[in-house]
Amino acid sequence: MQAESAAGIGRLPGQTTESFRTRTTDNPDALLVQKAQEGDVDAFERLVERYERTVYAIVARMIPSRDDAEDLAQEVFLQAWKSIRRFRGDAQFGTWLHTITVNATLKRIQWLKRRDALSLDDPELGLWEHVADDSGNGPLDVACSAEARQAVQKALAKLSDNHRMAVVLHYFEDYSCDEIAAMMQCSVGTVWSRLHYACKKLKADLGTFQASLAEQVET
Amino acid sequence: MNCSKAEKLLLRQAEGALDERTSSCLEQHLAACERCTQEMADLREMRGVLLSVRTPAPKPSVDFHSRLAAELRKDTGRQAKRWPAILSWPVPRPSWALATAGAAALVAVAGYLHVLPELQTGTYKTAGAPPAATVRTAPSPDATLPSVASKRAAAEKSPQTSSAHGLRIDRNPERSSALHPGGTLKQRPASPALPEQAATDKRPSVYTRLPERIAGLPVSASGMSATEKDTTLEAVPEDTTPGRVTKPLSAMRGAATGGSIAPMAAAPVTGSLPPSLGFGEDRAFHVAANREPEDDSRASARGIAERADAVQMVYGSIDARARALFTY
Repeated sequence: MQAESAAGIGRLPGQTTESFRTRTTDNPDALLVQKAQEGDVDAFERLVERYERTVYAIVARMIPSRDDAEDLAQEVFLQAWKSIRRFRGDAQFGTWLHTITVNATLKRIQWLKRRDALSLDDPELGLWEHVADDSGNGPLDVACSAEARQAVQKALAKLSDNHRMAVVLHYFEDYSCDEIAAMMQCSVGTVWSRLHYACKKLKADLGTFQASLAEQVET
Repeated sequence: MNCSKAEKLLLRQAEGALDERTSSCLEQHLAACERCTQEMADLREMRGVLLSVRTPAPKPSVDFHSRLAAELRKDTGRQAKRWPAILSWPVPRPSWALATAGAAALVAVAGYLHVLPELQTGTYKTAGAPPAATVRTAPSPDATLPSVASKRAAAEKSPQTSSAHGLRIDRNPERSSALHPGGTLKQRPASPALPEQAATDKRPSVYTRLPERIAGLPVSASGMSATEKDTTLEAVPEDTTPGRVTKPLSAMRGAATGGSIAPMAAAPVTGSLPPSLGFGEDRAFHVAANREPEDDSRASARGIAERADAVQMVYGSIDARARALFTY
């Protein structure tokens, strides 16, 4: 996923054409980004095809409603399209896009909370829909019993938005702590601290049920 | 390694993100610390739970891309209407910073235009500023001009305001003290008004110096007696005091050119400035001269100080208004 997003996008101030061409050949996103910055919608649509799954995954694991998640994902891409001319290539395009995604998602969650429209307690909606919605094989069948599902879901819903976002990005989307730090615009130590706190909080909230759930998972 | 430092590294150790040296140090601490060992076990357990419930990334609906493409092209069309292609790239679009700078410039221009009339007429004053004006306005005797009449009314309401119209110079110590309670001007005693002295005083030379004094310029020593240099200029309301000796400028000129000029001026004199001085025929004035001589340097310093006070007043007022605008 992150391997797809290449490094170094866009022309930096004072950068020579040769070095920029060298970078564009090494970076599959660079040429598309350059064309998109010149107003090429087709080039930006190619970028959308590359990143729509990752962007939607982050949004959908944080926003309960599928419709709301799709609307927000579209808004993220529209925002990226409007501001792509300000992208200078200091970071990877994927990191830049995911930073927009994280910020937009946290902002939307706050907006939904203010409108009392967020209901993560609903077992049929929210995080659990994307955490355990596949009735696959192996220990997940055991772990995702109705009781376990509800317990983990409630424990995750009690986390703050930043802690839950760190958990989602690290344990569900498999981003490294360095990448999460870039996305959430904080230090790597802060990311580790948030993950540590989230794990301790989840354990405390799960209580006695956590031991039995872990035992089921191990078996 | 203590527990506080070890606790921050537990999760990294559980995920294998520590280097070998730090990991070995942490293991040594864990071997000796039961509490950290228990917490390490809990973190590993929770990490296992979270990873076990992880599912493949959710996928958007089938029409997600087509809807987004339509929105992108719609937005591109709107941008093309707003910004012609020649301006769309690489010329940057106006940002909020530019808009803010424009708004600030408008506020500054509006504030300047607001105070401009007062600055031009010299009637600008600020709250709390000392009444240090040395030149005050008096109503013009010519009431036929609306502007002069209105300024006369304003001067009567606020005697401390100064204007280029209807200047009067007074040397009456009592009235000067009443008009200048702050004592910013050097008040000198004046002799009783004597018609004879007034008729024979060197008034014309003082009158010709009047614009320079009004403008706050230092008075040079050339062509002026010590009494003239020490003249205190004040603008007072039109003198209607019974028995007050006033004399028109033409009479003063006649007396001055007659050769019988008295060295000192004791009586206040009222007259009209000639048009060549730039004040017009309708400007009445009243001149009072202090008897005690004053050095040229003191007169110059006083003029400069008066000028500096006026400039400071104006700038202080502009600053106060600007602060009020931005606070609002």
